[in-house]
Amino acid sequence: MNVAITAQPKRKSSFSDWLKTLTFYELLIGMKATLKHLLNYKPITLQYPHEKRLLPDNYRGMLALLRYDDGTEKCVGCDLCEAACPSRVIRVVSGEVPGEPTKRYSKEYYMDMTRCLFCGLCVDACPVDALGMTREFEWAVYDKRQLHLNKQQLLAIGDRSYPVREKRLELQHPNVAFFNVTFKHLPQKEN
Amino acid sequence: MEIGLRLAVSLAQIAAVMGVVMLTVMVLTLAERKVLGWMQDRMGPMEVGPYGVLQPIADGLKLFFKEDIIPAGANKFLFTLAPILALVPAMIGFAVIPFGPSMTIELFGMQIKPFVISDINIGILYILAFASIGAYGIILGGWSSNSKYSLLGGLRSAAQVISYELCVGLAIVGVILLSGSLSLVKITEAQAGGFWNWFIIAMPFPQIFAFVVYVISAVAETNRVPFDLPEAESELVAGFFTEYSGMRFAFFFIAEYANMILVSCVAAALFLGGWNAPYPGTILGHIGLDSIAWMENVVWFAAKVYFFLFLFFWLRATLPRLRYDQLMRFGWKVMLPIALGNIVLTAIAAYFFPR
Repeated sequence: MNVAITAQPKRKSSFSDWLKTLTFYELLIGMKATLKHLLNYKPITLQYPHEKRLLPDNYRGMLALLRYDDGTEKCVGCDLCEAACPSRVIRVVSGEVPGEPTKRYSKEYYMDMTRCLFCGLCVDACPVDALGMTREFEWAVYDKRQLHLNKQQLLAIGDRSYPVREKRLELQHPNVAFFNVTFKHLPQKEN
Repeated sequence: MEIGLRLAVSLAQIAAVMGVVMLTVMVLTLAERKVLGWMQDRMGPMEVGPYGVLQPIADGLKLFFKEDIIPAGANKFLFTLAPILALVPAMIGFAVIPFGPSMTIELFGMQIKPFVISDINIGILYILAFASIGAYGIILGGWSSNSKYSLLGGLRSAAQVISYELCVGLAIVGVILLSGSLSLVKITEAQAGGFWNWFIIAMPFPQIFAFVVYVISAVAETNRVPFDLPEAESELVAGFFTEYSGMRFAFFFIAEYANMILVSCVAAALFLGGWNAPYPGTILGHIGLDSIAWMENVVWFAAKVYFFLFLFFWLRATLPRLRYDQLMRFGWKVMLPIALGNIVLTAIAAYFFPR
């Protein structure tokens, strides 16, 4: 295809350009803009501690460990969250439930929240839905070590953020277990 | 006895003017943040007091109780001297500014001019001289801090203030030619009787070009946006006062705002008729209240000064910073020729059409 190349119109310094420079025309346009904002003043600021934004539904805040409604921890100590975490926030020490050799739990569970980037991969990785993301975000502390959370603290966050909790899986009706979409990684339970 | 009384009256005047200036500085720190916020769709300070009106007091208290740090390797004497050298010239210039009509009142058998501390006959020259000394504070502060940012800020300031002092001085010459006096009181009196007598548009030769040159140079001289190269936040941390903290920093801060008020006062007095109303006489005088007519004059002066101060904020909200070479080119190749041409034309006009 043969395109006729037209020369760019040459920028000539005309009289009007000269006049614009002389009268600070561009500056005046800018100053008019700022003055317009001053005169119809509509601040977009939210006075944060006094008024807070509505958080989106899928807000990913502070992580928490969850329990069933009878108070037992959901976590089975499988270490999958530790494996999934890209910034190595989580450390799990897993162990057998005493007297029940087929069951495991997390003896110790640590989260170093100074490194967490709130991606939610651990929550996705958890097979028993033991991890949840709360809507808490005001976690400024004076001591960095206060962000190194242990299992009790994480459970406490879960307790205050998820007051309504589901029953243990084996206590649920099989249909409920089947349709319970939160258990998306679980195979359907035989009954 | 006589001299003691005169001293007491002078000190009272100085205290009054200082008080008003410091109060204005306080108001300005808040007003600047508020106006800037409003222009940028923000709110400005809102926390201290209703709508943040007590913010200047909180700032002052904070600065007063902050630790005073002298960096290792700093020249202690100059480091201490620099803030004083910056603040004193800024405050001392107000001695010759006429804030109101030049009347004299009898007090204790003495003739007292209530609205000007001292009407010396070289008023404007005195202000220019002290403004130049103010640059020493900035340069020495930058040099004595033993920090590269401070030094660069000081260097920039030296070049900038020298370039733009020249333009300020030359812009003023036109007004001096027309009024035939260096005293600010006489210059202001020469503009009495309506806005058509103000030197910005007065015949035989309107000083509009000189006014524009003066305003731009004044912004540059006070190191304000868009000429804030000496303290360019994004380049030099805080420029010449990077290493300063506490009250020493506050001195520089107050000096900057006092300088703003000073150049606004000079601009109002030289070009916009000072305390003269834009109509002949005063309304209060026309309706027979001659004894309080000075109030109207003082209000007009304040209004003009505050217009210029608002202009400073307005420019700051609008314009980006100039590059260093642009600044120099603009100063020497644009402003200086305009100011010089203005002098020539004004001189010719003043010769053929003497006022």
